[in-house]
Amino acid sequence: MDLLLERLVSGLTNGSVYALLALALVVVFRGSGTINFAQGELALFTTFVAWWLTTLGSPVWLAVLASIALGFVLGAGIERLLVRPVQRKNDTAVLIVALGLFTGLNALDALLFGTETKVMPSPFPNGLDDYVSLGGARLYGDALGVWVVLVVLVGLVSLLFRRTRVGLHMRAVADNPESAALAGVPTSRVLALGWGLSGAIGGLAGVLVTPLAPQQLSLTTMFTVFIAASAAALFGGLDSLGGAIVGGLVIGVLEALVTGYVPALGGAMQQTTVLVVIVLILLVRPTGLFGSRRLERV
Amino acid sequence: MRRTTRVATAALAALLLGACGTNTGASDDGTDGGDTADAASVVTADDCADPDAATAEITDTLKVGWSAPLSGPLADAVGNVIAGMEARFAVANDEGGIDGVQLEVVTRDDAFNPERAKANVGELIQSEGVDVLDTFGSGQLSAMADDQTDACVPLLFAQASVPAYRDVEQYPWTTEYLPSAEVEAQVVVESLTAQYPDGATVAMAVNQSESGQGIADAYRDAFEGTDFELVGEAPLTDPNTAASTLKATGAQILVDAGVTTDCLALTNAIGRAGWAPETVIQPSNCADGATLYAPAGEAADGQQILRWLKDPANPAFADDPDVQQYLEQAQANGADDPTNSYTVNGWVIADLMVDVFTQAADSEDGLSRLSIMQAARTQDYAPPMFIDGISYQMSPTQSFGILAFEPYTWNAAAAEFESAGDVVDISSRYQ
Repeated sequence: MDLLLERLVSGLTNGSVYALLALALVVVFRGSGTINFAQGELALFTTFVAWWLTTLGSPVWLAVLASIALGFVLGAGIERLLVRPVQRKNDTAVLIVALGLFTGLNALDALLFGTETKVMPSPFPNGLDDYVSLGGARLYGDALGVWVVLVVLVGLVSLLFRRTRVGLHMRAVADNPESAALAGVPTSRVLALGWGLSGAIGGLAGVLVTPLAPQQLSLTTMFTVFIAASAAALFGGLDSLGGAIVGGLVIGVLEALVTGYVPALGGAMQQTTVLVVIVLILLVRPTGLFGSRRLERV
Repeated sequence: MRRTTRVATAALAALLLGACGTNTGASDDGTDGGDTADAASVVTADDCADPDAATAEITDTLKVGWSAPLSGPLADAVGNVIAGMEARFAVANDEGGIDGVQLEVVTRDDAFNPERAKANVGELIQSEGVDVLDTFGSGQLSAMADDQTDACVPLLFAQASVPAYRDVEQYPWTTEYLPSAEVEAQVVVESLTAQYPDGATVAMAVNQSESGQGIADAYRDAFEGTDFELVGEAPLTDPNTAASTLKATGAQILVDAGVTTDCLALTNAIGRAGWAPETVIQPSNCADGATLYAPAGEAADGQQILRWLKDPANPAFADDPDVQQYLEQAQANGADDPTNSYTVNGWVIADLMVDVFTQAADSEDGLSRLSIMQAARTQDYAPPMFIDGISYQMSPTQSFGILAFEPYTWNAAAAEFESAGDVVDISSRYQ
């Protein structure tokens, strides 16, 4: 029983990491109808900057705020300078731009910060004694912190989309930018805001999840996290905030259980096994668990 | 949205498949040389595409071609290896080279991509006319070994440990620098036997790569027939899950059959799982205390590794005259981070090469690619930066090179490694 609890806690912790980044993917999708494949590397870049600030003596919370702010500026800037010019001509080209950013940002990290692994301090208590016991499992301060941030963030973003004029505009632009513009929605500003918001969430996610990552802060830290986060967003439904959370947690728990109880599969093919399960579900529900079905008038 | 979902799913699958590796499951047997008694009968130019080129005397300059990841995540590490190597060659050149022949390093970036490494080797051999090759990484070595063997260009001291390339009959023109997993596992078991004369229970965390599987196989073989009982194994895909699984076994000893990136992750995971095995064995490639042990704090205290190199960053070697000379010469010749373990490795590889080249130049045939390879096959040399009592030993019947280690433990309070016993030498098993 203790072992099952430990695996569940471990899976939920990994899952909350995936969910946090999946949330950023959903926000940019809901705000612009685009999937940002550079989201993980964007988060990694802002995390490297945050780490660099801590080496200069900055308190870790200040570095977190700087990462969020930088994420917002970079996200909005990328939309304005790189995405918008190509999106007018070809939607698919945006994916290519994002994949270009994926490799470009990683190379920039190597150039600016070197290729050796760094240790990013956590804004939450994460010493060996900073845990609470859940049965036989240990829930550490940094994992608990990610859970709390995730819940708060989902609440705030839900409020933004459902209760504010800006949120309404973002949904309108994502659904049909031409009609939204005809209705007086400032589409340019709304699109930049959507990407900026997503960048800010990614900036927060990066600094919170890096101390939990096995690789710590390295050029490969976000690769596996991003794959799982993308799968979580697709699984939950690309336009569903709750879906991103459920998707992330399901993937985290499935990974932990498959690795723990079916090591023959979970060892070499942990992520593959989980993704195969998700693909099978997507075959039945192509819009994901909670994604909206798109209707078109004919 | 359905189309977007399909495109995204396909792109995600492509990213994932791109990250997947292969597992050949080759066995580690470095004694495939048969009963041949001397290097000349093992390495000949008979099967070379151009036998005359292999036996031609090298004059003026001896070029060593490196295909290495000069860009990407490993660029810093490899940059230090090459800096150490160039510094050692600079010292040799200042002393007159190899009977007047100057040494030169020629590098090509492979970005840790085996296909690029293969292309680089063709270019290094054909365009640059290198006399000797080297590389960094198992995949890179596998990609280039056949071409380099056909061309009869020695590939010496590859920074890899793939069992297949210790087969002297299949790859007479190739040697590896990193210790064999088979040798390391035997030394660990011998060291543990002194610590646990009546045996003990062992759990093993296994990296799922070819390297990890090779190490795990070596440990399973080494524990076979001893009083140590392997009570559990877990994949290192998720270190936290591995720690929980292995903690449940209650094993006295934890063995990390992993690669460098697993060491800190596993230490953090067992610390957070609240598991403190009596003994934790880390792989010898996890030698950097500052980045792999210090960040884990108390969780890393007492962990054991095997070392073969002197550590210039460790105060225990501060008075060692060889280390002092190394630091002085490395710094004077452009290695700006001489205490870095990668720099030391680069220096030592170059030092081993200088010894091979010197032996070859002193041979009856003079300095040629063939005489270099024959000298490499019979090398017995103790580089000054090897721990006293350890040497690099090759013979026509074994290709392990490193057959001895000194055990060290990590002291978390002092943030440094401390010697945990005498050198354990198993070379007699391979004579």
